[in-house]
Amino acid sequence: MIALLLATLTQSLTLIPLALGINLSYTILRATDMTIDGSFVLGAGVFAQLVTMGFSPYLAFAAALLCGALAGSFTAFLQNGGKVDPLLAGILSSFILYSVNMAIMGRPNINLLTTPTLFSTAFGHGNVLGWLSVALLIGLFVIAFYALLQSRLGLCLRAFGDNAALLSRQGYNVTYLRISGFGLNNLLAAASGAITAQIIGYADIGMGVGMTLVGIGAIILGQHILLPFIKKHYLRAGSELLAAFIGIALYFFILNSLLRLNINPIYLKLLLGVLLALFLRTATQKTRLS
Amino acid sequence: MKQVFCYLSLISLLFITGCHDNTPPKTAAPKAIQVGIIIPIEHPAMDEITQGFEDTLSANLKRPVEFQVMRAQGDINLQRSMILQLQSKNIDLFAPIATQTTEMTASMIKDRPIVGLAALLPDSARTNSQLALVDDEITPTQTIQFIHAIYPEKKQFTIVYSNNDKIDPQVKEAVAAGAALGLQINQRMITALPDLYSVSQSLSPQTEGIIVLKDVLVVSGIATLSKAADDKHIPLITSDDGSVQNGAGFALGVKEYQIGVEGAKVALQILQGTPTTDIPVVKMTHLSVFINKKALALQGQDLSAIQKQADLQHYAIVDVTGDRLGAVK
Repeated sequence: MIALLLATLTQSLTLIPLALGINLSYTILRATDMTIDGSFVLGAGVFAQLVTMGFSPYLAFAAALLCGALAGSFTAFLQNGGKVDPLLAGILSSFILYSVNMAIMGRPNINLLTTPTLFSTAFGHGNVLGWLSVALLIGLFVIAFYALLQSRLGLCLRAFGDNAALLSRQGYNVTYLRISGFGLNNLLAAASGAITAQIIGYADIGMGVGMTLVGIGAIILGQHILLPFIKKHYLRAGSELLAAFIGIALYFFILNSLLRLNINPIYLKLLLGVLLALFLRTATQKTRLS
Repeated sequence: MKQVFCYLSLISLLFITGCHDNTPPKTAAPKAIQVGIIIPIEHPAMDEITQGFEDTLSANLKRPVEFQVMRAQGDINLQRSMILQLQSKNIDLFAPIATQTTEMTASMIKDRPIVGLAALLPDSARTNSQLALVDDEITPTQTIQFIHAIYPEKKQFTIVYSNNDKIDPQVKEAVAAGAALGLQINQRMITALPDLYSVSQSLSPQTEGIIVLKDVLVVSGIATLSKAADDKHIPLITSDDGSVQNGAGFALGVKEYQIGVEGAKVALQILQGTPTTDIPVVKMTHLSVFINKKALALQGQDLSAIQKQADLQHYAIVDVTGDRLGAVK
């Protein structure tokens, strides 16, 4: 029982920044940003390459975040300057990032098993301390993200997602908002990639495949479950964050539960999908009734 | 309220079933050794490695042994869940297959021995975990020298490979080995299986042969390259028996089953008390030449030249011409 909960918790933890990033793009900016598949690997790749070159893990982590933000800014630039549809811009960026990631990494896989990382010292003193240090870093991201949502910039980003044209007519710089939004969203995805690489012991060119879809699925799931219960507008930002956590945790909870039932992996995703659909249907029924 | 009840029912059901102990009831028989095998992706080669490992360990271990085989279907999240699940089940020994899977297992499991099968990792990776390795790679230089010995008149080949952590440095080595022998080796990389058809249709007209290293992605689409080789009447040379069964002309490689056998020997040493640090990385030294007579005939190649060089270099010849060729043609 504890093993199941621990497995769910540790797996969810590393993907929380990713969920926050997807929450920003999908819920607040109202865009499906496929760049995330690429920027997840970019964060892992930049971090792994720099630490293996002997740079400080802190510097490598900062560089990974910066590169993620640049990738998001590039997607925003494609949308703005290139007049490309947001979904297509994300797909194009993700496409381009494959080559960029390969060029940065120099090889498809970088081993981090014996390289000093942000958490290697803590894990050296035991798993509890190791996971506490991971949770601390994730907690900082969550606090910073919540503060951002409550700030003027956060409100502007929300308004941008609701009606960018109106915001533009009122004299706001929507280009700046678009770049900020997509930059932040991909910064968070890169953070998740860099943290995941440290936990699983390597950065790999293929590790981002499907991350956007898992993240979006989890966010929708969390929101369908939680948001019908939240009526107060001032609780909106907090409940969106909580919905992201619930969604990610529930995804891994179901995945780990099914694994423990010795389900044939061929049918695992089928069952996972059916169970997720059951949760969504329950939520939709409630919404329809209300 | 009804909704809350529904959610709680679903979660409780999963929780109760997920926490259900699937292990068999305790009996008076000696406790079985629990071995967890992690397979990253569905592939016949992975099954052969697993079979060799299970057969050898079961036959030689003096105690009963139970294998828990986990198949991650190429999903990194699923693979992580599976390793965590095995960890919670008090597995005595982990046997991940392939480099990435071994890296992930070594990063997550520090307190139990791991035998990485078909895994290539630097020695430094073994310092913080109980990791032993069976390296299945033969050097690409050997392959290129063997090809050159068979076809001394051919000067230009194309190597088709995927963007894989193990393959990338091997391709560089193969190109360098070719250059040393005066061969031009053109490189064609694929990032996904659909790219293979485009590559097969855009081979240089001067190419006199197609080379494939031990590359799971390319091998899974070997029929596409086999068709191109048949059309051009050039040899398709690979590095594993499965691809030869499926249409390649010949391969210099090791038997996948044997990788499992070598891994089981390492596992036996560990279970008998030898520390993993005292076990050197196992290299596969028994090379075989796998041939497919039907494919060689379609590609217009002479079998006798291959046999002659295999004999000269003391490689065993294994004829794997089978029914599967008919299925893919």
